[in-house]
Amino acid sequence: MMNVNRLKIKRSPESRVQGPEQTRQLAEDSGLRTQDLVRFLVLVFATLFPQLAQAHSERGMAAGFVTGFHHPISGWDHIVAMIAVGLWGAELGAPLIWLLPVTFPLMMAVGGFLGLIGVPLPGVEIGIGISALVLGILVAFEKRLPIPVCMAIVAIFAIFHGYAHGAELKPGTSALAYSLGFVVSTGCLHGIGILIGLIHTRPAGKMIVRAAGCLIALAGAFFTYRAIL
Amino acid sequence: MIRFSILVGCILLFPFPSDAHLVTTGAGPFYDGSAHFFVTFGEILPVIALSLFAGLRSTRSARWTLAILLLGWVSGGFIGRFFLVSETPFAFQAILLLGTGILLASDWKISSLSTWIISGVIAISLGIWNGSAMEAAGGGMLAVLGSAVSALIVAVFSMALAVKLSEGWTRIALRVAGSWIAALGLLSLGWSLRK
Repeated sequence: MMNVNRLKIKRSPESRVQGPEQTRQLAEDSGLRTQDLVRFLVLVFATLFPQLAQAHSERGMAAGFVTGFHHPISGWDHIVAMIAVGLWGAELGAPLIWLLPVTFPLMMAVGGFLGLIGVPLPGVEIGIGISALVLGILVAFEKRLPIPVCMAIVAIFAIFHGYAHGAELKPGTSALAYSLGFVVSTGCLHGIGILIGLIHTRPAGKMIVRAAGCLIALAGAFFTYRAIL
Repeated sequence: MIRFSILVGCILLFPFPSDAHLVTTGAGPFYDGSAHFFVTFGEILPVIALSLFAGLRSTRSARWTLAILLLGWVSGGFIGRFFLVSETPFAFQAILLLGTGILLASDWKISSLSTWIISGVIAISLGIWNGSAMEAAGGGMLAVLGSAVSALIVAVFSMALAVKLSEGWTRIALRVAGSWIAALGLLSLGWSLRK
């Protein structure tokens, strides 16, 4: 006769139903700790500088993708503005944490499209500098605006960024691969901004993110000044 | 067991030639078509976007989309053999990317029938351009079949991914990817108009 007691599963103390306090403690213990987050961010930053992985990419599709990937990160004015978008999205939370990284690449493509078909847009470099300045201020002051306003601000600045990149394609490279590298690179920069911005849920992290916003605003002021001169 | 072992041993004593070289087997064009699909962003990205979209709709939509994709691609390839062009027009690729990217980004709640119709149109059009290009390159229907099989493999994995990630923030991440594909299509359209 089968021993029913042998079929009973022994439950460990941790698997028993927890009260609210124990559940919260368990969630905190098993969640992302600050140390893990810092290590992850360091790893992400390290991947931005792959000095040794230089497989042959002088021609065709590979050249186009690499060229396009490098283009958004070829200038600090572009880099800081795109990271600022991610930081701001992380500060504002859902749904803007994903709406802003959707808006920016799309409108950047619109800007690129306008540049390619020859629509004139004056003051592109000034617009790019101002984008870093304004977005940095918004991050520094953790400014919360209505969703359509946030998207409109990001969309307008994205047009300037896209217009600047739109026409620069090396002869002999694939336009599609260039565009793909371009969009992926932009998305990655937003992702980095979002990952950094996630630390703002902690008191020290909030100060760090706002300080980053101040630095971005200062950089934006410098770029704007240089563009005007 | 002993008799079976003796039988196997006798068969092993008389091996047939192993025709590994594609030139002797004649299967070269199949792999040409297969490889062509994987190195053509203008074909692989719309298939991924379409498959992700079908997967997000429902598993029923996804299953029949697979069949429609394969049949449409092969049928289109057969038709395309009679219209010889060297490569798919860039503007066509751009519009395809823009359209499939918008579909995925918007997560448009359309019926399964509409999904299948859209999939059929895209599959047939890609098949026509593939068939034409493969015929011009000397690959024929075998190359079309190779590209169709590659498209099917990519579609299967994409749909499975979409079905698995269809809840919560992962669904949003897929929609974000769709917006990037749409952005890519818009940029490509600009390039095509510039030329």
